[in-house]
Amino acid sequence: MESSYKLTPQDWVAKYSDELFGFAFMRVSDEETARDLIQDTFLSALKNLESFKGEISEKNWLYFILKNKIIDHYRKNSKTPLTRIDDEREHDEFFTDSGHWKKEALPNPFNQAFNYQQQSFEFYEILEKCKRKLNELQLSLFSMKFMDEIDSEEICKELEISSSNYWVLIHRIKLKIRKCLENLLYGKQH
Amino acid sequence: MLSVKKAEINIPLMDKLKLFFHLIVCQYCRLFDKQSKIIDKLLSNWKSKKTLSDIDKNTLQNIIEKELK
Repeated sequence: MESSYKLTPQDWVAKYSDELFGFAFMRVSDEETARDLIQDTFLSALKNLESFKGEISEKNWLYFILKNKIIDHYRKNSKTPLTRIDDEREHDEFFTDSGHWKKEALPNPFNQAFNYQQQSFEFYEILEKCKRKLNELQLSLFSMKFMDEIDSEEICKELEISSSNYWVLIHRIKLKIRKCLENLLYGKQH
Repeated sequence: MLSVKKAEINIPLMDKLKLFFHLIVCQYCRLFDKQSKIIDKLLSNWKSKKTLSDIDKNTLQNIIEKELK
């Protein structure tokens, strides 16, 4: 059967590199890593030109390879012992031993300007800064859940975490992102 | 944590009730729950505007052309 799509590797950089880079950067929050992932993706695609059957477009095929590279990256980073230890140390940053909010962690209402701010480019730069405050395990989980919309079961499998750990981590990520947004958007005087 | 769980999956009735009564008495949890939903919405609309520099593009292009030879 003849392929519906033809590969044009010489045009990949011009056609797809910006889009793939943006996609990778959103997920790994590091330009150098994103660049390396794009390079690995192109090299991997070049090595597997023969396996391309043309059932999906060239662009989607490159995305498919990149997504697998990103998942490998998540898996590798979430296994570093430092990440696991850091995550345990973060425990109770927001709550007391009795489970109540710590005074310094109490949420404040977002102000009226928040609706306007969230449309702006600066707002997403702030969100990016907040994302970088997550540790490697949290960042991997964050990207898989919120960027790639992978279901919880698969995330647990890929990152080798239990279901209960998953919910603890998601909760902690949201607490951190919310607090960071509050601090950076409004300052501590809010 | 139940509010985060509820946003993603269908939690058991007992947990729903537990969460309901907890949110009645905990004003900060209600606020967190509300803001957490706003953050979810923001994240789903988030797109990166980052692009590769021309130098990086040239490097990549050279790598590809070298491999194709």
